[in-house]
Amino acid sequence: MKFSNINKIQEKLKQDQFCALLTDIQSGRQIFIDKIKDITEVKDEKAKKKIASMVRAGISGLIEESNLFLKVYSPAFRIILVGSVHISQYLVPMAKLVGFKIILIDPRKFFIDSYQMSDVEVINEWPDEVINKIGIDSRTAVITLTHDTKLDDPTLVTALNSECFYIGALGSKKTHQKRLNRLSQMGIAGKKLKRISGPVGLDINAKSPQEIAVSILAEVIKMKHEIAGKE
Amino acid sequence: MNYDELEPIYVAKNWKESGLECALATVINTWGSSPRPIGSQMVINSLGKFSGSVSGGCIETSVVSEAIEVIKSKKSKTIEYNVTNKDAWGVGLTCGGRVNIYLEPIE
Repeated sequence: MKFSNINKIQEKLKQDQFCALLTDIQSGRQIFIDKIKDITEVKDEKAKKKIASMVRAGISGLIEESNLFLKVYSPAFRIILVGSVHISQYLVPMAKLVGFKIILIDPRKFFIDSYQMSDVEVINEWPDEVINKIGIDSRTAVITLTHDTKLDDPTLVTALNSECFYIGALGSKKTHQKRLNRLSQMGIAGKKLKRISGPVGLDINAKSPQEIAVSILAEVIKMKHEIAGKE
Repeated sequence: MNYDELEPIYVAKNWKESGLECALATVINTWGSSPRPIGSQMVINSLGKFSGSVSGGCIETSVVSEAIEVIKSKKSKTIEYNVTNKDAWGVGLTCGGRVNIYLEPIE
């Protein structure tokens, strides 16, 4: 591998974009793939198509009937977290450790000032406005943790209208039922509402904020792979 | 700490910048139950230090010594690792899998 390729990969990942290296494992020749049109070295149309689809899906592997190996470098999956709360203090570093990129939003200045977060800047704006600005794709999870309907509900509506791979909302079974009723009254179909995981997280009898953070992160990981498997 | 810094290629970047020669090992194919998926990487420097993984610790020792050869020869190569149950101290995957590792110098 050329040292210069490491810089190219780092640059692309910083911009949340896919890139890949295509290596001829016999000769050691290697090309950096930024855009699909870069695959000019491969003459076989079938192989070319295969490589393009692997880059898009983030799958590395050998290309059949060739000496070529494709290594795809995928940008991090993102978690949009609404609520600078006690659970976030643990969920943020845990999720970062696992490789997620965190976007933490809370319009309540006094919450931001109280709960110190390590290694993340809290966006002090209305969550739905921020989310509309940055956009949600299929590699994004959205989690509401505020317990405040003014903040959680508009976030959930925005998330439900997107192709995000996971939606979670903190709150007891009772709270969740009330939430579903509110969203249903806003005209959101019951089938759509099933996308919201509530109470949020895998059921591991979590009690403390630290444990709840583990249960949420576990569910996000599970959904990430379930959806990746379907593609 | 930013955990991206643990990514093998980023570790390689730091090593190269501090003047150490490196090789990169990549899992390019697997059969059966191998511990790390295709695309997993590990970087090795000329002092024999390594970061990342290409198995669950079963073949790393051998990969390191092969990598040092690759650093010296500047020639990439592919190595296949099989199950070895006969020799407990031998190199192989105890889990019953088979992996192909591509080793290349970082230049």
